[in-house]
Formats: sequence, structure tokens, C-alpha cells
Amino acid sequence: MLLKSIRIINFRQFINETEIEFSIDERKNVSIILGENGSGKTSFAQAFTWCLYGKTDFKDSSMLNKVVETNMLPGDEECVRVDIELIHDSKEYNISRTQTYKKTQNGKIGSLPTSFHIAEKIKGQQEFLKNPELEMKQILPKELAGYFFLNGEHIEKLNKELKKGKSQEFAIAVENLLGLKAFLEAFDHFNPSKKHSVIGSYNSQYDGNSNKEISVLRDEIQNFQERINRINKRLPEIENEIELGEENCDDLEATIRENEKSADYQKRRDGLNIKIEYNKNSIEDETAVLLKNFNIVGLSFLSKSLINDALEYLASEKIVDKGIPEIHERTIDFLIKRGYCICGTDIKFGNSAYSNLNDTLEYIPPKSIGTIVNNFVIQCGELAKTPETFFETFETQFSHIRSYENEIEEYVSEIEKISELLEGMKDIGVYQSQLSYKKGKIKKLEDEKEKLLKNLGALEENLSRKESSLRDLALKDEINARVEIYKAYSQEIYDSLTEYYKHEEAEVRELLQNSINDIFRKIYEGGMSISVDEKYRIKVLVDEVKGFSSEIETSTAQSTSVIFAFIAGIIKLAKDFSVEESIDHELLSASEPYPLVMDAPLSNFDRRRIKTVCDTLPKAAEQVIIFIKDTDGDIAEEHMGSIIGKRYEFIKINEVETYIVTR
Amino acid sequence: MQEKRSIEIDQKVVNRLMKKIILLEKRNIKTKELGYGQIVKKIKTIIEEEVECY
Repeated sequence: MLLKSIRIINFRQFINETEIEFSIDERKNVSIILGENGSGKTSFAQAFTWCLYGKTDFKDSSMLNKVVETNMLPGDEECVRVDIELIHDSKEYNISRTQTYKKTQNGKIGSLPTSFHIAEKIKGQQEFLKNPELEMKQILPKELAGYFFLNGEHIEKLNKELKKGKSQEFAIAVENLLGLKAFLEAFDHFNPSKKHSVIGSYNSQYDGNSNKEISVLRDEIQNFQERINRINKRLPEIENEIELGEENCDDLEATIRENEKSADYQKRRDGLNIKIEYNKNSIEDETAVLLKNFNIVGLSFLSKSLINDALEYLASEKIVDKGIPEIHERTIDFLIKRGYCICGTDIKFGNSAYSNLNDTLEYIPPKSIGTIVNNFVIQCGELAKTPETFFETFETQFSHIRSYENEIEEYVSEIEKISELLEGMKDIGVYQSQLSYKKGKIKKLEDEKEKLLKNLGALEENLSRKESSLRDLALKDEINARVEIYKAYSQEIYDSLTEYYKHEEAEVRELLQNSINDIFRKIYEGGMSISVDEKYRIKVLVDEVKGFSSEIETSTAQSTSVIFAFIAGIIKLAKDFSVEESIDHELLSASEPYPLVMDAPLSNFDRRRIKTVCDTLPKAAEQVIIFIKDTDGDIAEEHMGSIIGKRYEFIKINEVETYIVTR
Repeated sequence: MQEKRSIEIDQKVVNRLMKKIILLEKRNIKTKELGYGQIVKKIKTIIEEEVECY
């Protein structure tokens, strides 16, 4: 696949129509696009993945240029379109994606369904292909697109993915690029577990008319095969789930280790919160008792001194006189008006009883306060009986309350400090429960796997026995003997292809590893190497230290070099395999040259490595398209000037408007 | 000649068939001429013709 041109309409910063052509000249295979920060280099680079796969990394899902969007009236429609012209497998394609946006009556922008087309140029005419998604998968699978259209911001993510190993689709995509596709297709067509494959269809071709046992055996074999298929389908799924689960567990354990202290802090914080709650309850209880006591004896306690003084004074003044307690002037008036006394004596004006009662008025209220004072003295006597320990008890209770309050203040202050420490740390309780759940799930999967493997062994043994019986019976009549022979050859071809493939794949992988290391050493010039395992996972190893073979943590520059080396290694190998006659491995498919489209590839490197990157990548890839900062333009010219076939520059008008000019 | 599964399998024939089939697959990857059923049928024809000749 080589990119001929890209045409974009209203895509992000690029208003109206913009088209640029890329160099496909073998000697000048570099196209360079310069631009200041924010001029739209990344947007332009993302236009490729948007057109080919409908995907971008933008948070804003709308691709429509903001100026165009603002000028739209309710009911207006505007479209974003990207067309890419490319050459793949000696054929010319035009790939086009269009997204139409419509402004509603309330001023909102809505998107209409996207249209995606691939047209092949045949004799100057465009012929639209029926299944563009499938065609795109053939041209460049999405799984690999992130590596071919390399965005500087994704380097770390891609690096991590390469180390962990990606999906089976990724490995297959790499194998396809490296010429192993014909084998993978053949496996699919021979697959004994598929009913309509070569081997599968021979299984159903046995004629059961000559011998009923043949038809019984055929059905039994089919049944065993189906059960085996189900297990064989499930087993890789289980392994994949276990692998993913273990990766998750590793990540969770790492997070827990990193945040282990947070558990201690949280435990301490929880303990302090419990103490605060306890103290608050204690304060409540103590206060209730204190108030109760105070309500009972507080008044007498506070007035005790005054009462004593008053009693002393009253005793010295002899105010307590002949008055009758609780008798008032109104009582005497009542008796006089009634005309007889309590004792029954008549009270008449002028008699002795009348005179005595009138005399009494002199000693009782309101004329005399002696009685009141008397009553007061009695009440004071009662009030003065305050327990002697009241003050001590009150003081103790109050000091308890204060001490609880002081402790609460200390706990709150400690909690604040802990919370500050915990800021930015993760709650490992959540991670621990996730870890337990994941481990439990892995255990269940392992149990399921063990059970399935046992079943598989038994089923395969049964299948083999039944097949052997069927073979013996089949060979007894001419029609079935023929089917049996064809099937035996099919199975032998399948087995031989599998063996051959394993051998070839290992060799191709070794070639890939060498190719990657060649490029990596040229770019990074360090004492490190890269290994590629059977799942196309990569490891960076240190060569310089004798006896040290473990993987190491890589810096950003190293990670970038690893990604560049990996993808350039694949591209180089694919380029080497692109001429069929040049393949030593006669059954490998001819591969395809691929471009390397990179956004800000030089920004992570020092001057020495910029030179090595500029020297190496254009040699590894058939076509290189680079988006770089205007400040890196001189460096690129210095190191690649002679091989730059096309030069463009972004002219930024404002944040939402950029134009492209040829340099 | 090796005897396998009570049937004599000629490894030379197998190798020849392998190459033919891979070439067919390679061609079909480029042309996309044959669908799954068609290519299975074609492979079976190739195998049967080759085995018959032998």
C-alpha cells in the first residue's frame, strides 16, 4: 500500500477543500508537512485513520470545521469528507468517507449516517467495491493501523501493547503482512472441525447404503467432532481470559503495592472516626448527667452563700415574731365577716374575740412580714442542705467533657493530615476486592480448562477409535475406499502444511527479529536488543551487561525507538518480500510495501538520534510521510533534504482555520 | 511411500499437492475470485485428480 494523495473537505481546521499529493518516487520517498504548534498536524494525520476506519482520537466527535459549523443556518447541511488515493497490490483505489451534519431548528448540530466507499480504478473507470470494510481489512487491517499511522502521543500505549501482546488478530495481521496469509487461508479451508471444509466435507461423503454401520459411525464421528470443536473453540477463549485476568491481577497487585501505605492510613483514619464517634456519645451522656445534677442542686449550690448570709442576718434582726404561719389579713377579715371563729366562738363587733382578732392583724401580713420571713427561713433551711460533694462531682464531669472535646480536636486534626497524605493515593480496598474477584474467576476458568482437557482427551480417543473402525469398513467397498483415500490425503496435506507453517513462521519471526534489531541498533545506537516471541510480543534486553537477560524499563526515547524499529522492521521485511522472486521461502506469499505515516516523530529524540532516525526510516520503508514542527524543519532538511520528494507547510490563520501551501 | 491410517500415502504427491494448494490460495488472495465453498471444491478436485493420476 502506497499513498498517492489525500483530499480533505471541512475536516477540523481545514476549511473547504485541501488536497496534497505524496511522493511515491523510490529515490525521494519522503513527504514532509511542516506546521507550528496547533496548526493541525495531528488533525491532518488523523484524517487518514478517520477515512480508512472511521476512528480518531479526538474528544470532540464532530469533525466539522467550526467556521463552517458556525455559519450554518437551521436546516442547512454540510459535509466532512476525506478521500485517499492509494496503490495496493498494483491496483489503484480511491477510499472515501463522508459525514454529513445538519443544523436543527433549535440550532443543534446533528450527524447523519456516514458513507464509506472504496472504488478501484479499472481502465480509467472507478468501480465501487461491494464490501468496503472487508476490502479495507485486506488492504491494511485496523489492528495494525495504529503502527502505520503513528501518533507521537500513543508511543507509550503502543509500547505497552507490544510488550503485553495484543489480540490474536494482531498476530494474524502481522503474519499476513509477512507473507503467511496463504497458509492461514489453507488452514481455514482444510479445517477438520468445519463441516464444509475439505476434510469436513469428506467426512459427510461416506456412503452408508453399503453398510449401515458406516452411517452410524459417520454420525458418531460427526457428533464427537462437534463436541471436540466446541471444546477447541472454548479452550483458546479460556486461555485468553486467563491471560487477560492474570495481566489484570498483575496490574492490580502493582497498584496495591504502590498504594500499600494508603491502607494503613485509611485504617488509622477509620479508627480515629470511631474514636470521634465514641467521644461524641460520651460527651452527650456526661452532659446529660451533669445537667440533671445541676437542675437538682445547682440553684441551692449557687445561692448557698447568700442564703447563709440572709439567715444569719434574719436571726440577728429578730424579725421572726408572734405572727401565725400562713395566716393573712384576708383570713381575719373573712372570720369577722362570717361572725364566728374556727373554734366556734361568736365574733361580734366590740366583743373580746373581735378585739383579739383585730389585735392579731398587727402580727400578720401585710402589716407584719414576720410570717413571710418565717416561711422563708424554713425554705432556706431546706435549700441550704446541698450535698458537700456537688462541686467536686460537677468539676470531674465537666473535666471529662472537656477532655473528650480536646481529644476530638486532636483526632480531627490527625484525620486532616491523613486525608492530605491520601490525596492522590488510591483506595486499595477497592483494588483488593477486585483482585480477589479476578483471582476467583481465574481459578474457575482453570477448573473449567482442566475439565475440558479431560473431556477432550476422552473424546479424541473415542473419535480416533471410531475413525479407525470407519476406515476399516470404508476400505471394504470401492466408493467409500475412494473417499477414505482422498480424506487421508487431505489430512496428510493439512498436517504437512501445519508443520511447514510452524517452521516457516518461526523463520519469518526470526527474520523479523533481525530486521527490527538492525533498525533499532541504527536508530538508538545503544547496547540493547529486542526479542520477538511467538505471540509477537517484544522484550527489550540489555546486551552490554554480561549475564543480564531480563527485560528493562525503557525511557521515552527508547520506547519510541522500539516502536519505530518494530514497525519499520515489519515494513522492511514486507518490502523485501514484495518481489515474489526474491522470496527464498517458496510457499510464502509476496507481501506488499507499506508507508510509514508519522506525527511528530523527531520530538522525542536528541540530535544524534534524529540523524539516525532520518537516515534509517526512509531506507526501511518504501514511503515515509512526516508531520513535524516548523522548528524541526531545518533538522529534517539537513538529514533528509536529498530524499524529500514533497514539501508542504500549514499556514495557521487562527485556532479553527489552517491552509496548506507547497514549499 | 508411507503407510498411514491403513492407506499408502505418497509423500511426493502430498508435497506436490501442498504447493499447488498454496499457489491456488496465493492466487485467490490476489484475485478474490473464489468464495469459501468454491475454493474447497477446487482443492478437492485438485486432490482427487492428483490421487487418481497416481
